[in-house]
Amino acid sequence: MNWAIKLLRFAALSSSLMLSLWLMAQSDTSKTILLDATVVKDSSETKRIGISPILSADTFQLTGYNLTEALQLIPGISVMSTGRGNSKPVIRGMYGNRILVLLDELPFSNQQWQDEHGLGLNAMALQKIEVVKGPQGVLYGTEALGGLIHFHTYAAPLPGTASFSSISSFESNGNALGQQLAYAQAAKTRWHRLWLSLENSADYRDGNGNRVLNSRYDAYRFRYSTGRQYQNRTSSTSFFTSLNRNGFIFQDLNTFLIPDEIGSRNLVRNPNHMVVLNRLDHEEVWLLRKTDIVKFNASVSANQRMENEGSGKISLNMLLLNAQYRLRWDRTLSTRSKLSIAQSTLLESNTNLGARILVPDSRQLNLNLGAVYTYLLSSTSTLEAGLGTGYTLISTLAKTGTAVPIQQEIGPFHKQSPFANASVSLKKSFAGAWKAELQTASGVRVPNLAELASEGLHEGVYTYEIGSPNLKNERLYSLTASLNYERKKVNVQVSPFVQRFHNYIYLAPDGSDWFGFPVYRFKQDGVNQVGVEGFAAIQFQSKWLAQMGIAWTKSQTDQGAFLPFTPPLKVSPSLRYGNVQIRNWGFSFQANAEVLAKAAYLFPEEVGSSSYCLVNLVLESRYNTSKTSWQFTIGVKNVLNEAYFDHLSRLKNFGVLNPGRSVNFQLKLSRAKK
Amino acid sequence: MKKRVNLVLLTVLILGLYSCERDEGILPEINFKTGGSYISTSDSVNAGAAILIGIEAKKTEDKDVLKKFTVTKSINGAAGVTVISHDLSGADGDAYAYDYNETVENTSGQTNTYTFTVTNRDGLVNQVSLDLHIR
Repeated sequence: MNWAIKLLRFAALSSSLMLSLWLMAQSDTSKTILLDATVVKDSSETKRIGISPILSADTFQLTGYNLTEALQLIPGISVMSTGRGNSKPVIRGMYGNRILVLLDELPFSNQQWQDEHGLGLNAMALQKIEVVKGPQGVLYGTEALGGLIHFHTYAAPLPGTASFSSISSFESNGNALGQQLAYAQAAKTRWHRLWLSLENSADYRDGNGNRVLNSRYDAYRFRYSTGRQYQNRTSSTSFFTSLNRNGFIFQDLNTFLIPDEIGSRNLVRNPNHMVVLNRLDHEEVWLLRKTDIVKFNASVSANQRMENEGSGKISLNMLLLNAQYRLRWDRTLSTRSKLSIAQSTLLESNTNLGARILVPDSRQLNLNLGAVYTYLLSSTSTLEAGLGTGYTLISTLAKTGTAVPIQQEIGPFHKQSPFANASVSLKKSFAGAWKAELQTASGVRVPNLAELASEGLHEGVYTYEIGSPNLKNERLYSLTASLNYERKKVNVQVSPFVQRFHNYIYLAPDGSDWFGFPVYRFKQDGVNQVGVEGFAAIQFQSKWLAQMGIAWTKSQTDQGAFLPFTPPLKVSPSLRYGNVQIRNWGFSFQANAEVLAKAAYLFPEEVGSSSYCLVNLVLESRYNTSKTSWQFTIGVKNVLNEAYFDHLSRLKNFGVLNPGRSVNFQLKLSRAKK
Repeated sequence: MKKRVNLVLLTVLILGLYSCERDEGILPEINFKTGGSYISTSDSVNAGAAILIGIEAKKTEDKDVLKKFTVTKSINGAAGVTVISHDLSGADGDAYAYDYNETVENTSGQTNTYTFTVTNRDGLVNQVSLDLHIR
């Protein structure tokens, strides 16, 4: 009952905040405004690097790629994984709470405070992905330190249309099955969209043909969106629910788990991580005086993480509830200048329901207010400057219950963290084909709950982790340049960056032990990071497209240690033969390689990885009629059946290799009616 | 509008389903051996005497096996020092017995505190301890 009262109080507070903001927006209509300034400006698929690359649905729905794997197509993006069903994106070596994941303008949180907590999304309902590298704290506050990944779901269908699509897929390595259904319908002013997605996989085999026990996963997702177009306003509401489960692989799994039959997808008996997510979103967009936009987004969500870590029952069981909103106002000030202002508020509650308690129950408030001013210096030059400020309050509660580790160091606390951010960027076009951009920005990240308050045995790796409520805010100063040469058939880009972290937080052993388990503590140090990303594309003989991406980064603390999980040098060439059209048939073929160097920068005691090369092939055919489109894709991942560790795979610590060769089939049927 | 209200109610209902009770967890079992020459309660011993303390530990849930057994020794209330640390696996993960032998110091008036700790796979800890006063 106590819990229900808290929930109601929580809902009431967030509702009143949302209402007050809505009233503010209503009362301010006398001012003139302007279109969104940071939304996607260039959807070119070849724009893979620089500060804001974008992936379209066609790219991330490539057969055999899950959502985070598809993001790896962008130089500078890599994937941290704990098995195939559990991965999260990494931008320039930053991951977890150092990058912000947005789903339709609002943060999407899947308890990112621990390395083995995955992204929790797949490609269902996503129309495009915007990746912004470097600090974005001015408009987005804490966490947008290393960059942000913005997942945009499909917008309203065209009025008077209806469409249906089905995507069926099969992957040979693990016998993974996937099915996705989508339906959309729009009348003159109202529209509806519906999605359903199912996927599951048995254990995969590595490049040596060995079964990786318990690498299975499944996921079930549902989303419903509805919206309405008014004269100067659009309104939409979405509900998303998902269940994700993945087999949990850890140090001594093979010592007690008896392998079940090959092809088994059973996740009830085996250790697994299960996440149930429900999220309700609402968006209002007002178009005022034709040139101005006010956008209001709000959501409430419940994220329950349940982990069976080999004890045969759920031991870690955490419920994260949050309510949040974001109000953004874009205004044209003159023909040369515009202003964007954004205010966001997040209320979050974390409650332990299980026997294992690593981080305590907590309540959190995040506030952020920021503004970006854009000024056209000339027809070829743009200056953009931003200022932002924010405040975070974290309150933890006392750990209770017999299962709380004895001799606790950290008691309940309240921690207030104000912060401020600034950014300046200059963009210039010259000599017709050249574009240059220079961006300098600061970023702040308030330490997360695990870093401040964790105290307990980390499952699977059996280290005793202790946080510190006295940790300072992480601060980042970043300088990024981007030079782009683009002619009709040639595109070359290079983007070097230099970043300086103050109070970078990392986990390191302190030499002591807790009842025989090594103690790790969160420490802080300055870190210097340098890196470069490059991309080149050339089109020849009208149907051929050759591309090459490269990314390198190095991060070193003031004590001389390299940061853990630093992505090694990566070169990714690809060759595409496409746009072959024979009557209603279309064909394309693509071969690409991922060449990874040996991990050169290792954190003390970190397991290294050797160099390797993965070759992937994709053959795609389409058949179109006036109303129906069939798309059949066959792909082979890791053609050479390389036996390798990805350096950012957490399973490398247990000697578990990444997947070997896999043949993938995908059939997509789309039918539209006007 | 009505549909949206229904949607909100559905969400509230789903959120309400989360109002579960907290799982307190069952700690692994650990006890002193008794009888014979085993010391199983706080006591006084002669300086330089040989002592024997016996421990029996076992798992309390089917798969929540024992992972680690440690013995720490503290002298006169100072910080404890780990003197024994054993990783447990196989049959020892289900049930573990250990006899701790020591010849105590020749320091009359000193108090030694012995703490025996067992930890299971879920990180749940249980321990027993006793004080031996040296005469």
